[in-house]
Amino acid sequence: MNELASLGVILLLALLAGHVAKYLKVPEVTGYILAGVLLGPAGIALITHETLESLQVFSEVALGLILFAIGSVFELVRFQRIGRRLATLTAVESLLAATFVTGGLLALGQPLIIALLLGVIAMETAAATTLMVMRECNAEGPLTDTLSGVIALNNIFCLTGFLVVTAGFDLYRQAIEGGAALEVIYRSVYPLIWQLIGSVALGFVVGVLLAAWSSQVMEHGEMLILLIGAILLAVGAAQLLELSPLLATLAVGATMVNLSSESRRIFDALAQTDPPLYAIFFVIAGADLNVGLLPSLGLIGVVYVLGRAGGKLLGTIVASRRVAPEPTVRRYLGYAMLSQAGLAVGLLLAVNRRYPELAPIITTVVLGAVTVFELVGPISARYALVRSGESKPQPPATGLLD
Amino acid sequence: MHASIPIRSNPRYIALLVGVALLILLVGAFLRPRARQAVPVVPSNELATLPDRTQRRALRDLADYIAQRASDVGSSVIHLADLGTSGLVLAGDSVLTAVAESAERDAPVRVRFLIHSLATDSARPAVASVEVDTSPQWRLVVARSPEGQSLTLTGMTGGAIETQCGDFILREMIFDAVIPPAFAGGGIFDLDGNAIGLVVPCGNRVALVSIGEVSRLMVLQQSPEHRLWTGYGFRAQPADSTRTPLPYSGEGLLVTEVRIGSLAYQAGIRAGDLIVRINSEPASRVEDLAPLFDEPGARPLLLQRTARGLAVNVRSSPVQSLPQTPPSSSSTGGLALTTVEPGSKAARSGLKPGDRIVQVGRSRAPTANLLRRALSDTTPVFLVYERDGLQRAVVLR
Repeated sequence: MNELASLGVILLLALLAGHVAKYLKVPEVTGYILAGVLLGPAGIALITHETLESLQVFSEVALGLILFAIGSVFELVRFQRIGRRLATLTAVESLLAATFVTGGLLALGQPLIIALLLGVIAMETAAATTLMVMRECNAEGPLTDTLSGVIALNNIFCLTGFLVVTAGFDLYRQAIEGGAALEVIYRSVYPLIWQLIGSVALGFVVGVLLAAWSSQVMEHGEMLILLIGAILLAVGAAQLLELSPLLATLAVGATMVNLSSESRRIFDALAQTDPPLYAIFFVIAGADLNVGLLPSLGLIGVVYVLGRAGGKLLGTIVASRRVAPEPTVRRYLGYAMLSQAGLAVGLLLAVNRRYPELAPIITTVVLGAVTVFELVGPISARYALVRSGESKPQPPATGLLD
Repeated sequence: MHASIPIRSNPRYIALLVGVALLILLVGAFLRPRARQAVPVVPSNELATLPDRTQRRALRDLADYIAQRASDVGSSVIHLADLGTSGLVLAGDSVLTAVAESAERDAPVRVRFLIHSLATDSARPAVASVEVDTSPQWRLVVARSPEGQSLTLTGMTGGAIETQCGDFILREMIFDAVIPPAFAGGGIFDLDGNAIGLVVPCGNRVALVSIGEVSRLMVLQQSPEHRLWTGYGFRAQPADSTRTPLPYSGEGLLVTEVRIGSLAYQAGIRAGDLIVRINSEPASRVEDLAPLFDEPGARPLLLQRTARGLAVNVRSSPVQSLPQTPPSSSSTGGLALTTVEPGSKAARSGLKPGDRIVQVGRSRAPTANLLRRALSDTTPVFLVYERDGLQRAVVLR
């Protein structure tokens, strides 16, 4: 089957799966992901590895748009108000998840570097999955606000942690093995700084372009063209310059929301138009899941899964005791943060590239755990949003008519 | 509230920020560590000789060939039938898989390696590295340098040296990384998906067969000499009066080497025998033994060992079933050499201590005296000896 036909099947099946999911009272995202698993190489193989690869561009655009939307939480006015609390929450939950995973793996006798790498990867919470569940629940309230801020910061923390660990490992290895110290420092520390600062700079430039132009654009359609063009530009340029597309698109969103009075309009335009893209995104993500890896997760995988989940749950509870007075946040934030995908898989690829000798074990654990968390995460996020009372019924779909 | 409004309303401030950001991007991009320049490495001289389909066939044939023949090389070469899957497999199937896929029969083979354990490592010098696909998930991990000697699994550095494994002349790959014992071997492909070689396990080592060696082996495989050796376990060459102790009538093939335990050995053929007839036809060239390769069945061979003839039936064998070589312990007769004096006639002919002399001249039960006399004599002497499970006929001069 060629790419277009599979795309059609993906969309139609995603719709069907979405209906079934609604009927079963699980998030649509879960329906999409399961549809992907079914269609993918692990299932009936309607989507092959080949197709997945050529559809990858959709995933990148969709992820860019999602992170752009998440970037809007960095509105300075708002951030000044809740920034401290978001940072505390994120720091505690992600550090606790990392500590639990690293400690557990060390207790199992794993090498320090494997324990550390898996620890920082465990910090990540899937922005896309979580955001989609929030949207689907039409959620509003303190938990939702906190959640969207925390997942944005969480991804930045995780990327930073990863870069620090890998730079540290490179330096340590250089100290043991000897070699040109300056060269190693340059090669290990530079990417750290470059990815953080460069990505933000790129996002800022594109964001300013978008903000300046958006005031001239009136029509809904034109707005979309502008938006998608800007996101594509940011993602593409980030790939070209070896920056982080994730951070860059996040920065585009942050810049936009701070500089433009049009930002509300543009985020609305986005929300009305992107569902097909997201359906494709999650079906592809599902097809990419390695269900076959689940049995081989082993003790290390179990420790990773439990350590991460425990760290996130406990971390949010402990931190919100200090900084978040709302009981809904304290009680449910952790459950909403279990999904894992996106950046974790991206970091995995980076590990494979840089430390091929560590790849087998890390690949198995992370891909297996991502499968678990992508299946459990959305359901638990929906549970959190519904139980906290922030989920609201969807308004009637009139968006396309007005 | 206080922070955002001045920014929003001050275009000059924003322009300054944009300028700074652009500067950061420009300088940062310029200074960033780049992956090292990949050297384009396509051994064009070898590739040019082989169009696509031939290459595929050659690789498949070679994989079959090695799987069938080279029991001592290890038969775990991946089967390349229809090129569904081939390539390097490390530690089972979970770590590194190469997939060669071709949608249509005549389309060029696209080869991709799913990286799980091997990829370009920019921090280490690579002798040569090639990416087959621009997408980050797929890399070609094996390539040859222009000199044709070095070989790089990207992420490891190493090279290949000429070596021998069984009957095969191979290049042995040496790396700075440990290659898992489960390494199974597979095809090596260039940027365009052309086969440039095959990786085979060789004992505890991993060896590379270049496509040139592929062709050589293919030709060799067809030669009657090679088929006799691999299929039946003996070598023969046209006899002449100086090389056989037997009365020579101008026809016949001298059996120069027999693998002990092989089909030929079981049928009763020994080194030093003359094959004079096959299927009642005279045999004087190796090609005359062609009926052995025709169909399965017993082939009557007339051998001359003593002045009288000796008829044996050699059962034809499918080429695949190469008999395992049992250790030389199966033969007990003969005289074991204990010492070989340097510079002596025996030493000049390559005899070594431990060799077992089973025939001297025409005598198949030589005594020590007879051997001593023959070795001290100045006239050429015909000997058959056993070593390492092989029987060889030589003429000492």
